[in-house]
Amino acid sequence: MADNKAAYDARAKRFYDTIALKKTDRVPVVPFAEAFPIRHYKALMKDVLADHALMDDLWYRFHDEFQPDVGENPYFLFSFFNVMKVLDFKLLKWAGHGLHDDSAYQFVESEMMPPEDYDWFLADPSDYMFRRMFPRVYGRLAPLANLPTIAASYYFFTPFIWAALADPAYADAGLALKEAAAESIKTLTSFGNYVQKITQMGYPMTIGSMAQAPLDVVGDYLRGIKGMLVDLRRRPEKLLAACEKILPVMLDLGIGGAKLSGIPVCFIPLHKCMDGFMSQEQFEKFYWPTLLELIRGLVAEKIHPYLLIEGVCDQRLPVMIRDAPPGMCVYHLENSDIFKAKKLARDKVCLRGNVPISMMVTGSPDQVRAYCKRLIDEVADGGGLMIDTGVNIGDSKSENVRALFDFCREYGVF
Amino acid sequence: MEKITAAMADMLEDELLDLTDKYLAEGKDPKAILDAYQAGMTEVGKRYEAGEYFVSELILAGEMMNSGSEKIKPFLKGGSESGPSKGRVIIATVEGDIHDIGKNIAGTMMELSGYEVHNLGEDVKISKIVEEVKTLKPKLLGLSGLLTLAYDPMKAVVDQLKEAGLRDQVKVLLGGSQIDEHILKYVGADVFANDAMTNVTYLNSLP
Repeated sequence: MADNKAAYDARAKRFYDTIALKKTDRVPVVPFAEAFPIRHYKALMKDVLADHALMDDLWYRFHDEFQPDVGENPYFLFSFFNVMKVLDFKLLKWAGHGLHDDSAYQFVESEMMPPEDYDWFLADPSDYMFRRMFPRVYGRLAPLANLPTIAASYYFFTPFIWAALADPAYADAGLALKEAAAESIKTLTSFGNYVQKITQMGYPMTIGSMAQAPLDVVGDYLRGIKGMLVDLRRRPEKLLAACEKILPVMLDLGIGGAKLSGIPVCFIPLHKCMDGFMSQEQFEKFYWPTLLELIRGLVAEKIHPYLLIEGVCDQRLPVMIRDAPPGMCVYHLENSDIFKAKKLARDKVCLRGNVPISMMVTGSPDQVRAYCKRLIDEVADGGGLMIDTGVNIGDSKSENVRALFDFCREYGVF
Repeated sequence: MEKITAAMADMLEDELLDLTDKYLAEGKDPKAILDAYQAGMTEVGKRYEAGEYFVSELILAGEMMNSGSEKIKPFLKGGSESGPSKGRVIIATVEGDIHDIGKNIAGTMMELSGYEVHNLGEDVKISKIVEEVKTLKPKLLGLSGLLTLAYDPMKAVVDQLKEAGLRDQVKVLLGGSQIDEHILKYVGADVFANDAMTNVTYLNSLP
C-alpha cells in the first residue's frame, strides 16, 4: 500500500509538473485507453456496456499490465448506456442497440433545434431543454412536450400543471424516470467504487469535469453541424447569442464538476474547431471568444483546461496558443502538426499526442517507436509533452500499444 | 444571367432567390437560369479549392442550389434537366459506420460537377457494394468512414473486388478524416480525400 501511495504521488507530480512546463523525471505516457481493454482482453462490447463489474475488471487488468501514468476512467464513455436504454435515447446508437454487438458507439447527427426555435432557447434554455429537447431525444419522455410552462407558475396556479400530469401518457414517463433514477444510482455508485480502487492501486485520475466550446454545443446537440455552419451566414447574431447563453452553463459544469471530484482538470473535446469547417475570421468571431472565456474562467479557479483538439487545426493553433494562460493548459493534438505547434507552445502550453491513430491500427511497432522517438526528441525537450496517440488507442494493435509504453518509458527519461 | 451566377458565387441567398423568381416571372429560359446556377456552383468549388471558401459555404451553396432548383423545375417542360453525365460514381459509408455528412457533401460536389452519383447510404454491406460495382460499372467507387473501425471493411471491399476480377475496372477513393497514406496503402485503394473537392479533381483527371 505504501508503494502504491508513493507511485500515486510520483505519477501525479509528473502529470501536473508537465502541465506547468517544468522538467520532470521522464515524459508521462498517457494514451487514452478508450475501448482498448475491451479489444485487448477479447471481451464483447455489448457485454461490457451492460455489466459494470466486467468493465471494471478489464480496466484493472489494463492498469496492471501497462501501468499508465494516469488512471484511466471508462465510466465517461462506456457506463451510461443502461440509463440511456431505459429512456430510449435517440442521439446514440451502440452495440446491441442499433449497431452490431462489438461496435463502438456512434453519434446520430441531426438538427434537434430547428432555426425557428432560437428565440425560445435564448429566452429560457432550461424550459427549452425540458419541454422541447428532452421529448425529442428521450423517446419515453415525449409527453413532456405537452406540459404548460413552469415559468408561468406564479402564486397558487400550479394545479394547471398537476392536472396536465393526469394524462395517462405521463404514467409511463414517470415510470421511465423512476427506472432511470435507479440505473443512474447503480452506475454512479460503481463509478465511485472504481475511482477509489484505481486510486488505491496508485493511479491518479486526471479528468475532474467536462465542458464544451459553446459553438460545439450548438453544432453537436442543437442545430447539428449543417445547421450551425449555415447559421454562420444566415443567422450570425442568433448564433453568437446562443454561444453567450451557453458559456455560463459550461463554466458551471467545468468548475462545479472539478470541485466536486477534487480533480482540477476540465476535459474539453473540440469538434468543430478544425481548419476546413469555417474561415479563420469566422473561427475568431464565433468559435474562439467564448471558448477562451471558458478557458479563462476555469483557470481563474485554478482548474486546468485539457483541450482535445480534433482533426487538423494548424491555422487555428497560433491564436489558441497565443491567448492561452501560460503553464495551465493541455492541448491534445489529433492530426495537427505537433512539431510546428511546439515552436509556438514552448513557454505557454503543454502538448499531448500524437502518434497517428492510423499507424496504431495498421502500422508496426518499429513505426510507432520511430514516431515516439521523434516526439521525445523534438517536442518533449525538457518538459511540456505528454505521450498519447492522436485520439485514443481503442482499436490499436496490442503490439503497437506495448511498443509505445515500453519505448517511451525508457527513452523518455530526461 | 451573370447576376444569378454572381449571387450564387458570392453566397447572396436572398438576392439569388429573388432574381430567380423575377426571371421566371419574366419568362426567361429556365434552362439558362439553371445553367447560371451551375456556373455559380463551379465558382464556389473553385473558391473552396483556393482556400477562400470552407465546408460551411459548400453546405449553404448546396441548400441554395436545392431551393433554386425547386423553383425552376416546374418551368422546365419535358426538356432534360441536366446535360449528359461525365461518368458514373458509387459512394457508400462502409459496414459498421453510420456517418453520412462528409460522404453526402462529396456526393453533392461530384453531382454538381456533372457526374452521375449513386449513393448507397451508410453501414452498407461489403457484398452489396461489390454487387453494385458489378452491375453499375462505375468509373469511381468512393468508400467513406469516420471511425477507425471502417478500415477493415474498406480493405475487405477492395479484396473482394480483386477476387471478383473487378478491381481493374474501377478506381477506389477513400474518404474520411481518419484516412491517410497508411490507410491508403493498408486498404489498397487508389487515392484518399480529407476534403470535399479532391474527389472531383481526381475524377476530372481520369481519362
